[in-house]
Amino acid sequence: MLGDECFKLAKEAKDVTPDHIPAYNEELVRLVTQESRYLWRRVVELIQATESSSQQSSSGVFSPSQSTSKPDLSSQPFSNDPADVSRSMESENMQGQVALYVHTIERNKRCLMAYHRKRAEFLQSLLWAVHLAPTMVPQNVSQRLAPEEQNYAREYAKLNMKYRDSVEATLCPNDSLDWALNGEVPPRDLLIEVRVHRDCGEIVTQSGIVNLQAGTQHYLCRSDVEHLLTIGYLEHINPT
Amino acid sequence: MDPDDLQAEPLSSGVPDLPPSDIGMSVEPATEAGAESDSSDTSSSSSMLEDDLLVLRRAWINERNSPELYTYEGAALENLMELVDFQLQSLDAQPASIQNDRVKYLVRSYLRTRLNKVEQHPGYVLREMKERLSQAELEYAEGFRSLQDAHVRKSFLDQFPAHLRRVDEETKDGLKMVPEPDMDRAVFCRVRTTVGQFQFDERYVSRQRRPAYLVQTTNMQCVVRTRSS
Repeated sequence: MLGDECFKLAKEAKDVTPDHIPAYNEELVRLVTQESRYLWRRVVELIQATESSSQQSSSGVFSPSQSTSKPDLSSQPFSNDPADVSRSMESENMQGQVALYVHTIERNKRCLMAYHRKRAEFLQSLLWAVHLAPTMVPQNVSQRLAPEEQNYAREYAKLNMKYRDSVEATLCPNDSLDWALNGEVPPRDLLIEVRVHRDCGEIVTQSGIVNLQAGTQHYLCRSDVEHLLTIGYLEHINPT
Repeated sequence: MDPDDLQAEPLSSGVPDLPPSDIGMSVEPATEAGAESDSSDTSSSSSMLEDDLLVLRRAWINERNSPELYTYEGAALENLMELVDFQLQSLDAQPASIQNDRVKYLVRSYLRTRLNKVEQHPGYVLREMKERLSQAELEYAEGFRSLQDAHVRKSFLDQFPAHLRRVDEETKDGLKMVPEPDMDRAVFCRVRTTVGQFQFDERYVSRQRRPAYLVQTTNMQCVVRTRSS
């Protein structure tokens, strides 16, 4: 039925939650686009048909035989010539059809827009969670993305890097702003106690080199290990 | 009415659990560091930091709690970061202080809140309030808008009939394709200076210094903007 596909698409857009994204439904997107194209062709045809028939009818109205030899005395305001009536009904019919089709196309477009935007928003928040590194997007998510969406993710990360660079150049040329850090929680302590879940090898901190072996615990400067915390290699013990 | 009297700020309802003193505290070590590094204008630099911090904190709270984007507080940001930088240099190899981290957090959070708004309504921001953005933000907004447009274009819009490829149209029933922030959202505001009688939807509220109100953003706009302009 008309608009069924795009309703499905809208429902799929609703299924995107902060931690889950369904696979990109290329088939459905193609169907909705196809339907819109088909409808637009119909609209163009209908309009052309109306135009040509109105030319015919206007030539009929102005023909002297119709306007003079048949004085209209019936209660009907319009000509009761059956050909005319059917023509006007036909054109009304066409107008209705055209309006329906145009609205359906608009609705299709809105649903497509919403679908893509919803998914793009998911991608953006996902990228922030992985420090704006498109390569860090988990495998099970990236296989659900369209190639176009993966490209979007890369471009988005690039755009953010550009912004970060220009901000850091003006605000703190000698230091980094730790731009991609988890920005929601304000820092409480300088030093935190962390447990190592996966081997990270040796890392260089402000106070020297630390060997992070799985299973060990360390008391370290938060800013040195923040990135390892977010990707889950370390765990913050007793976060107050 | 003197425009300087018109000052109001939304209260911190959505701000994460952060006692005001936490940010305020970060002022103290600046004074200490300044004293240690025998600079002559210690008091003026610390009071400057305090002022900028106050400006930024207020801008941050406003930004986080209102649907609208306010003017970029560039000067305050630059001064603050300059002082943080100076402190890091003068403290040399000592570990960075938590206070510096907090200032950085504030700056980061402020900038990201703004970017978030730009991302929510890129078309609207570029159309209505270009002058409130910093240069970098302007570039970001433009880049983001063209990224979004290119994305939908390549995904499906290129397959559409040429007449229907616009991304900024408005349907006859008033649905706009360019999303706009919800200006009717309620905000808390604290009255900083008495402005006298003020009309909210045919209801007069006398805005004395103390109380806080919950009002619609549209009502508050003109008052808050006077402060930022």
